[in-house]
Amino acid sequence: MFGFSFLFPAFLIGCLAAAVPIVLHLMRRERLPRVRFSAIRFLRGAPVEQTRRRRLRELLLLALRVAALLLLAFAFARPFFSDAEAPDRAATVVLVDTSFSMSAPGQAERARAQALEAIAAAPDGHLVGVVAFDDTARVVADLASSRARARAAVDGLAPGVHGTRYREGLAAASRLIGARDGRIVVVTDLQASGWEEGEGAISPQIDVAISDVAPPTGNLAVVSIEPESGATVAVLFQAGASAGEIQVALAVDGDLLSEVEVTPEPGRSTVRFPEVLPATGVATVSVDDPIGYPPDDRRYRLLDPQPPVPVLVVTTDVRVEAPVLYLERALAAGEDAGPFSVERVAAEDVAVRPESLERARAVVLMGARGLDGRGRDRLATFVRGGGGLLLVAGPRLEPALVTDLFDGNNGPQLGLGATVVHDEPVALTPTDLRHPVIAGFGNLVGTLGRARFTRTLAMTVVDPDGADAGLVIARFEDGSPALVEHVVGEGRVLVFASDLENVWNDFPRRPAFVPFLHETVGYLTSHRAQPREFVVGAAPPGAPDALGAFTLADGAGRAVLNVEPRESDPTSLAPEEFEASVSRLALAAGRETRDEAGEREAGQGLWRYVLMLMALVLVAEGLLGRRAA
Amino acid sequence: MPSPAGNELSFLDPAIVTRLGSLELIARTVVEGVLVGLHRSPFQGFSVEFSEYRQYLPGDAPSTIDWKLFARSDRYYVKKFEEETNLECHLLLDVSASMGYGSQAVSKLHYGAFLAASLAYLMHRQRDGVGLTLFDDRVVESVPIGTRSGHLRGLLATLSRAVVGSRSDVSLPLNQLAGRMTRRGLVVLISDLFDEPSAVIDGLKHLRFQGSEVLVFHTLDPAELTFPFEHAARFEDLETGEEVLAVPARVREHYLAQIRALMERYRRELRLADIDYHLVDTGNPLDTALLAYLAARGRRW
Repeated sequence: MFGFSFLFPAFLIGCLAAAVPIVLHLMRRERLPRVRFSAIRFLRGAPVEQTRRRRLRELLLLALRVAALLLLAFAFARPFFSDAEAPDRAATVVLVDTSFSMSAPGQAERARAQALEAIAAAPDGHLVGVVAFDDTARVVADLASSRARARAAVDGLAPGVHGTRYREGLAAASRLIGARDGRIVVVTDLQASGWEEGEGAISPQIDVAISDVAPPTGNLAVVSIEPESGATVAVLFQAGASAGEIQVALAVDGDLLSEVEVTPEPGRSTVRFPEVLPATGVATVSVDDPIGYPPDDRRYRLLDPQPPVPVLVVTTDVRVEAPVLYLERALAAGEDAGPFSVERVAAEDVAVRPESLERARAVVLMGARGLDGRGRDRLATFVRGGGGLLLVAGPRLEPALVTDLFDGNNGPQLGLGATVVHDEPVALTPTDLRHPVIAGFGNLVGTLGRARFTRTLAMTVVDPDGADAGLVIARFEDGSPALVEHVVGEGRVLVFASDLENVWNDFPRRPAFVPFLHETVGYLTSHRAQPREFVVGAAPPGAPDALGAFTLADGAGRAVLNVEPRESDPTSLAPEEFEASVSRLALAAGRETRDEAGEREAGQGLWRYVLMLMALVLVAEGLLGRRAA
Repeated sequence: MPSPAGNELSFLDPAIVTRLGSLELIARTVVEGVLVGLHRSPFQGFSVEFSEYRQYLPGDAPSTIDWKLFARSDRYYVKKFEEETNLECHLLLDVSASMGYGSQAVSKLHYGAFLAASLAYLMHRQRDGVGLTLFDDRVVESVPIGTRSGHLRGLLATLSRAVVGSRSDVSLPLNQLAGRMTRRGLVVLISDLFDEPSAVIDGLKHLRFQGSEVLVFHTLDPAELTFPFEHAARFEDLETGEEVLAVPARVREHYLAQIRALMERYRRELRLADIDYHLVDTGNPLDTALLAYLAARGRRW
């Protein structure tokens, strides 16, 4: 059953314009004089207008003109079919909160009992459905006359580990009721934080009733686990009444490392374990909370080191090691395997080895000779997609090959010029101390100035049009830019105006060289860093719905899943406050309904067909009018 | 044939004649005006019949001597004649709705009434019997044949009461009259003949075959003859109420061809049936029609 609606019904007032041809028709009709004559019979067969036929034709013309105007008004009003089922029977939807804030001892049982009461109390003749919600909503029993399915669905409900988002649940229940009259009975603990996030709206004609499931008197949660020197610190959060002295346990991969007894203070408190966390594994801090929510009694932290970040070094000839020796060694420096894994590729192979570029999170371009158009395009696409590029403007870089790397794609001109030979070597001077590359040096930033540069590449940072051509992070002593950052799409480009192979300078032999490269490449790759700790509701696709460690897709290592910390706060709203929030949701419904209607109307595009029909009507009117003339 | 003087012509203009008031006065004015203009009466010797012989006396016209009797008796006798009425004239006036049309001061019905009155007056003046029938799609009113002066006044009064009726059916009174007539006579039909021509012609032929002289005055308004309208209009038929929207410039040619074809058909077929047909334009003076009648009678007698 389809309904018919208009996106802009105000335009229907244009239908009044249909009165214009009617009035004109009537006025024009009265103007022709009537002549009484005796020999009408001799006009038969002449090209005359039989009054009856002409009147019929005029009426048809009038109808066509009126129809054209009506269709025009209809087209402007943007008609569409709404698939809302015609209201037949009213409905009651029982909306049951299954977030983990409903998992305190006895709470789930009370919730199910209250939901069953709501089903039983549904007015005779109402359809009854059940929707469960936490941070998403699920219809567990569709609308039906029979209460049995609804009761069975309620019996199967249990709180999970997700947070609360009332908007999602209410919107789903509203959609289930549709255009009917109806009511929603929300079985919930009225948790205040449940209104903070989520999207959705409810139809204004739906009544919302609350079935309050009282929250626990208090809740204790483990909020975080942080390693400290020689110890491990866990942060606890005590809401409401304390359960008294409790045990707090630290374990790694299930093996108990330490256990302490504390009496949590209201609010946040810390628990210090004397043990140091190992380099790998999953650390767990757990508490024994007899009155609060079980899911937040345990917190997980992944101890596995970050896997090396893949970096692609593009050089002129992969067989010659000298140009990239210092760079690769510097990137590989560090504990164990180092933070970066370096792959070397020739400039001419960038286009034919796209998989290398796809793996890399940053590219260091040491030499551009052999970089063809496709390779340049792939590099530009890589950067725009969020990748980082360190462009080393040394002796192997031909500026002409990379100056317009992003040209034609609304990208910046890199502004590379000629090589400058300094009679007196110049030093590097940071200019933007807050930039992450420089800030990482902290108090040791002065070490950057020890390197001596005998040759540099001239760079312009303001193009001839006066547009900003980059952010200068460091300069040489003579004032020329040494390190410039460009933002290209989602990615970043850093241009270093000298070499990194101990030819134009002695930088690779200075202590600041390795940290400089780590900070620089680390900065470029940070935008693609894979997070490894998630909270429920923000987990990546494919993550299990269970707390603890899990394996990331594509072999990116392990990650851990914890509960949302805000869900641990059982603070609840007064029913009046909850109802006020529902009212605001209903107000927003009008706007959302219009948005939905707009999308539906845009998808159907009926106005185009109406306009085509109007054009046909006008053509018919033109043909008929021509015949009448 | 001599024509009346110009003054009389203007006096016989229908628009002026109609101001005279009574039909008797109109008829007398028209007839006398016409007769005054004639050099020789076409009625000489008409309507007289042999009565007895008498002895020739000097001064008698030699043409009156009966030479056969002289051959038998060898004496001169002349024939003595006695005037008497030997003609019955039936006037048929169409009073259908279409006859009510008039683009000028006089409608076809009024003009036809004047014409009928004039003819009745002329007949009465010659002591011929004259009767009148008014008809549309039926016989509305009928005055039998008579010769008395009171009869003429009654006939004229009937004519003055004539009003337009409904649709016309010319064949009906013709057939009724043919069934009623016992003597040969003169039948004068005054009508616009807006009827089925074959039916009208058949009816007239019927009368003619019975031996009656038949004279048709096809009475049409000048607007019917020329279709002088200029602006587009809704034309409403007087008899049927049918409405037609027409632009005169576009339909005039067709209309005129149609009405000319009608007149030509009547003229041709009635001539073949030895029936006198006269087109009467109501915009012309009344004596034109009257003179046409007299000319026709002159040809026959």
